[in-house]
Amino acid sequence: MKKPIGIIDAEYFLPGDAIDISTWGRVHGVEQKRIEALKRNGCRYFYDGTDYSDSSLVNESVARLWKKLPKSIKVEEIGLIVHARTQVFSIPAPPISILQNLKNTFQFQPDFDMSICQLACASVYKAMEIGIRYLENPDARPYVLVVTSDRVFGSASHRIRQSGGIQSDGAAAVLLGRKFLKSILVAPKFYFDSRLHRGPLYEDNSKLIAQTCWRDSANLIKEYLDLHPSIDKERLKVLPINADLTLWKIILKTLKMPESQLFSENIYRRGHACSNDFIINLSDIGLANLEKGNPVLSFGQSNLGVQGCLVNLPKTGKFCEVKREG
Amino acid sequence: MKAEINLAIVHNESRSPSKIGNNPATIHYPYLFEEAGKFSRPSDIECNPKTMNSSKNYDIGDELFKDLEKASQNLPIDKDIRHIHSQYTVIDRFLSSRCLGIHHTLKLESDTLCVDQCGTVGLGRSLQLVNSCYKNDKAVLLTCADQWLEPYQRNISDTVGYCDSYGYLLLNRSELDQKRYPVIRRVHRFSHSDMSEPEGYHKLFNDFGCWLSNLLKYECQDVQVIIGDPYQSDYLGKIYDKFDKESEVIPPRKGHEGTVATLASIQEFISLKSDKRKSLIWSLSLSGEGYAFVIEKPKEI
Repeated sequence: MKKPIGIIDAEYFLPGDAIDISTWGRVHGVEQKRIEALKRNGCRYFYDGTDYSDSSLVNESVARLWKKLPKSIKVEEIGLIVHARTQVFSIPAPPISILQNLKNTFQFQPDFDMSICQLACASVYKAMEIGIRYLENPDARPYVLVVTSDRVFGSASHRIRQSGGIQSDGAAAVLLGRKFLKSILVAPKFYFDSRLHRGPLYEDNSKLIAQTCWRDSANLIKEYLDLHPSIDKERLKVLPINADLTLWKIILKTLKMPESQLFSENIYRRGHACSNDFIINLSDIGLANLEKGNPVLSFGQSNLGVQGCLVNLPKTGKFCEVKREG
Repeated sequence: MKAEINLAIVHNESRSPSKIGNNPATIHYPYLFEEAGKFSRPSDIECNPKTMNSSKNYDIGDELFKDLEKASQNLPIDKDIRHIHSQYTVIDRFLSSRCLGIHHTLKLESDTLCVDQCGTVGLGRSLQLVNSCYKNDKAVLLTCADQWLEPYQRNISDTVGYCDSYGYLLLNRSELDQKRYPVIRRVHRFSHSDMSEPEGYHKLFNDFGCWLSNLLKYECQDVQVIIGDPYQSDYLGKIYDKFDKESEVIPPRKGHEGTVATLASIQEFISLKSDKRKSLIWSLSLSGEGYAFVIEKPKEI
């Protein structure tokens, strides 16, 4: 029987020290009322990497990951690198790309590499799916590197998402394979409502997103767990995006899950680093929970009508049959 | 890297500006480009972000939607077809609208995926992705689109002039279609890791020419026609000077269509009035990645 595919390790880089929205907001002219609303929604700290390019953020996260990996893993064993992101900022001028810089820095020579973003904060789950599918190929090299990077620039109006989240800058990296596993990956599942493809800046969309996002998220989690009935729901830890605490409490209530199963601390501590949240949360809490034998569900919501979720199972205990659509 | 593809080209379309009508859309740089610009602007370009409000009176992404919507009435595009979009980079428009817009326009039920920062080799990457990860899909829709704004177009113009283009390719795995339509038989990948030489792109084109020449000598001996990306002649010379085999090389087109260039080359071969049935289409990105596609026409075409 083929060995399962899973996560070997994960690491991230959030530049500088955590910044307190209370202090920063006052300096940047944010209304006190808004700061209080953010704090009520569980937000407090974020990271600002204005002086870093996306490339330097990604390279730093991979350097940190590489230090943690078993020494026997070689750069030439990486068969695929997938970069996922939400924002379009700070991409190097062509023909250079983030991945080109990454390959040059670490001497990676994968079979191929790609950068995806149109699924916004759900893009990283598509990157994970591509990684899993690549590793299922019997001729594939043994490891896949998934990297993420996201950042914003500019004033408070861009740093703060309504009253539900504060944007952080950063990058993250995770290595997938069949050896040295810390988890077993279940294939991700997606929900598409592409009528929202123009995003929240279009007036009608904004209202529709607010009305449907929580319900679509809850439905997707329910469908995913129904598809994989052997996942232990009682012990499941839910890792959300690091924003919208109120919304996430509603989602868990809809799913009839206690709030204690939601990992919300990083909404307070890290801020919403978009596509990076998946790996940041996995690194901060997910891997430790997997070590304790708890399955971990990660979720990515975009404001373009796409959502993605994925479960990591503990490598010991009941093995879950991995079903996949399509 | 070599991959057996065997996908029939059920439909191929590529369009450049002369064929695109006007519409009131105005293209702008991505949101907050000015702040991000210090990491994104070409380092050798002097420009003031405040004056970089380049605009055009059409939107290639919208043109692609409209064309695909119209074409879908006559093409066998199943709702569960896998759609992969690719484009040169991210500078021309907020990508999300483009790719998910196609998903919406065609009312697709399956996933859609977009690959960017591809240089000009989006089609090669898309086919590699299909071959590595979606081998069981019966059909796949590949779309490409690039729209250029200053200063990027200007920046690259000493190497080649890029032009706005879009295109799509409907591919099918069925054996029946492989007998009726031209087929992408094989894809070969070239990778040039060292891009740091001071002599610019000459070494890249030289190495690619050697690679392509060996491919023609040892693996693709029966190829009769060669069509490639329309780079300027001194770069093309680095490639074609290496060939010691008598193959018909089609002269370069006038502008480089970015990711759409490969589709334009395929189109050129399919519409070629000749009994030559087997061609090698090559595509090279200045990022150092290149592809060679072996394409074969059925006898009746």
